[in-house]
Amino acid sequence: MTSGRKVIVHVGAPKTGTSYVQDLLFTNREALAADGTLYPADRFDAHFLAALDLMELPWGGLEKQAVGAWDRLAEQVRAWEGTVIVSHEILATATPAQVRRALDSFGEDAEVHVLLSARDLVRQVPAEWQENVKHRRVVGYRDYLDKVTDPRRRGTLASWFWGVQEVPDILARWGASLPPERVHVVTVPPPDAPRGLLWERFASVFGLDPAAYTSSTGRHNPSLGVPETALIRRINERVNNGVLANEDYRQFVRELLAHQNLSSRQDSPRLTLPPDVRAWAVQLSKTWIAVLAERGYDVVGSLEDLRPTPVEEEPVFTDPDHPDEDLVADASLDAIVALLRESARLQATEHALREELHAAARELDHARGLWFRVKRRLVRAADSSALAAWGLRAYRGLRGSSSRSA
Amino acid sequence: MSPDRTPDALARSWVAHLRSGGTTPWAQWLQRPGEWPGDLGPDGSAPARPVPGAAQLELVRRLAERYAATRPGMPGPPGDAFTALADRALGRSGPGRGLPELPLLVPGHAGPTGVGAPPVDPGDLPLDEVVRVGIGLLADLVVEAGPVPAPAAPRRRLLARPAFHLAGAPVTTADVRVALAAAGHVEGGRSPEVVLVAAPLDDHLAEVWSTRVQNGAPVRWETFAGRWARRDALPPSADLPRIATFWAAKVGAGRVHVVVADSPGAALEATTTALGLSRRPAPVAGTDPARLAPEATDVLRRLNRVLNVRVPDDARPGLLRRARRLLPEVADHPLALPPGWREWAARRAEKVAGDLRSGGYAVHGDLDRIVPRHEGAALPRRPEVLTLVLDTCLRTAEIATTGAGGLSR
Repeated sequence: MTSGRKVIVHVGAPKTGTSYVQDLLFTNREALAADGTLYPADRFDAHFLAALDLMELPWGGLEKQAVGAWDRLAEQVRAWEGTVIVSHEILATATPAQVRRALDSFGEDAEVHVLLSARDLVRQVPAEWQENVKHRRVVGYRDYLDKVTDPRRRGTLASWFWGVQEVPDILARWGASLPPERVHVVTVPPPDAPRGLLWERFASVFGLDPAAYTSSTGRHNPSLGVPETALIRRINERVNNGVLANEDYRQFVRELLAHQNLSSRQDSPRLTLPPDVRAWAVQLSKTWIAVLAERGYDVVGSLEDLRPTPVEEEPVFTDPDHPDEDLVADASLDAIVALLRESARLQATEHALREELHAAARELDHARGLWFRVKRRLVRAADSSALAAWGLRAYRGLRGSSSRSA
Repeated sequence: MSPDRTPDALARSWVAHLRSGGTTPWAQWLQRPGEWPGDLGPDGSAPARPVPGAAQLELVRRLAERYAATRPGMPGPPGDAFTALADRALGRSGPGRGLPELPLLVPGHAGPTGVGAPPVDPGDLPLDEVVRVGIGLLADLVVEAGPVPAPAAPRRRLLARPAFHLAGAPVTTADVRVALAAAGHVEGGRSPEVVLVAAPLDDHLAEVWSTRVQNGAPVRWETFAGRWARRDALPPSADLPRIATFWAAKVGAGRVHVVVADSPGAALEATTTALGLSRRPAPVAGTDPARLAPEATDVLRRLNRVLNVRVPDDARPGLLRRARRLLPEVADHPLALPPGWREWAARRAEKVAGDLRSGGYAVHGDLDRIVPRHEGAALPRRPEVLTLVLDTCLRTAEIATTGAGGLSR
């Protein structure tokens, strides 16, 4: 028996416009709900936390905020009559058992759809390396490419890459129990496509009018150029291993430097693949297109979008392991300026807070009265005066204090 | 019924074998596969559940092996309790990041190319991968077993003597504290005699690491040691000159005692002398933090990574006490610093010793002995970590085993 509840689980892939879509859905969640579509999120990263919970994933301390998040999300899904959208790109790596738990949690009567947005591998491979770098990794580009292209797929780096990027395998896991018409592949259009086309494709799967939901906070995951990525990687080498805590890294390196400042340097060389890896990616893309075509999924866009653009249309490969040092230096200067401005802002905030604190302490002191001030003096004097210490002991004995010395 | 030789049937026959306590490795199973009882659907279709991943299967095989190894002279299949445990292991994925659930390698049967991870012989999996899956199972069992409440702190009698305060290597200090309390000497009081327990610096760092893990930290030993070394700093409890200076300013240098303790027994002996007690108390088990072998600490460390995402902050301490209680007793042994940090540690230890010598404190023992000894392996030994995970899972699942080297309930 169906309930009328349709659950669309958008499971990835990273770097296919997922941040943009999630920002749009979160910003417009009230309007969506009024129109019968639920995006169950009380914070912008609610689905990310739910995914961490589902897959028991540590994530730099954020996992502590994820305890119980999947069950809370699922409860909201089950309570809704209408369309529900769940979206986070790390869901792509869910194992078959985790997928079963996720789908079961939506209720037996839910009509579940799985959506995967996909982009050509030639653009995805460098983008994934950059994501690694923005998450504190120090692996060099060539080293990364070797790990990813190794058919043995050893190590956590390769496992993660294939887990979030291997389109046919992700769909096989998430779509194992679903009829193919409920498995949707949204292909990312080529760079010269009309602006807004990607959102239109998503909206068609979500059952939404794309023109009705366009406002967003602008939160997105912009890409960096070659010198900027090299700079972040070098920063990682200096600040890892206890030098900078995760929360400070997120705030200052990823958000302030990478997302808010360095990503605006759009004239610097972009990340691409070296010829040998490009040829590998082109061949693999052909295989994936053929496999996906056979499976009968609902393709929104075209599987041809997954075929890499001809090499003549791409920028020449610039090696991030050996970047133009002048460009890296220039990016470094921009980074220093950004940090100085932020330091100045934080210092001004600190001064203001200090003033407020002093004023509050003066008011409190005044409000407490004479007897409190006398007691405070006695406690301070007891550290250096035996008489005062005796007096304090006597007072505490009479009062029945549980205070003990350190 | 002749065995079906399709990869799927071979895999499922092995699953059935493992579930019932079988220990045949996959490669040998392929030579002489057993029968598959078959669990086809009523319409003859294939079973709905896919074959579990190679790591889950290898975990169950190792559980069965461990079960058999700990009950020599008591042959026979483990029974329903084992099958239930096996099903739990097969039904869950490894927590956190690791390899995907890999299909089983059947020579001569190539899977589709270009899609999916290559199949594997479970016997070739990295040990860490089997440990990861085992930790997931253990986390389930610990959460189910529930928390252990914190023990009540002993109360100090009014006007009790001597007044004393202990600081230093946290596990050794806890040993001393508990032994003294059991003999009626509870820490506290005004104007205390201050006893600083100074262990060899690598031992001290290992104790700090173990203590932090027992309090919920998921940090690896080598990462922990490296952080301090790179900062050229010591954890607060190891910065004995700073602690000594603080207390000397409060109670006088003459009442600050530095006790050199290169063993738990030595610490208790020297503390007894420093406090002027007439009788040395007997050591007491069950301290907090506990004295754990490095492998046991590493099991807790891995468990912390899962518990951090499974249970709220306030539930974690009780579950960690439960996990500590469930871990079998394993003799402690030294944990050396990774080679890259040994020179740093030797230098820091010499400075600590020098500062303490010149502080005017009462020193009990030879301060030269706090130089790192570099004994033991520089990392928890992975095979023993796995053995502990297996033993703890078996014990926790209430599978009674006895025998040489075995567990008891």
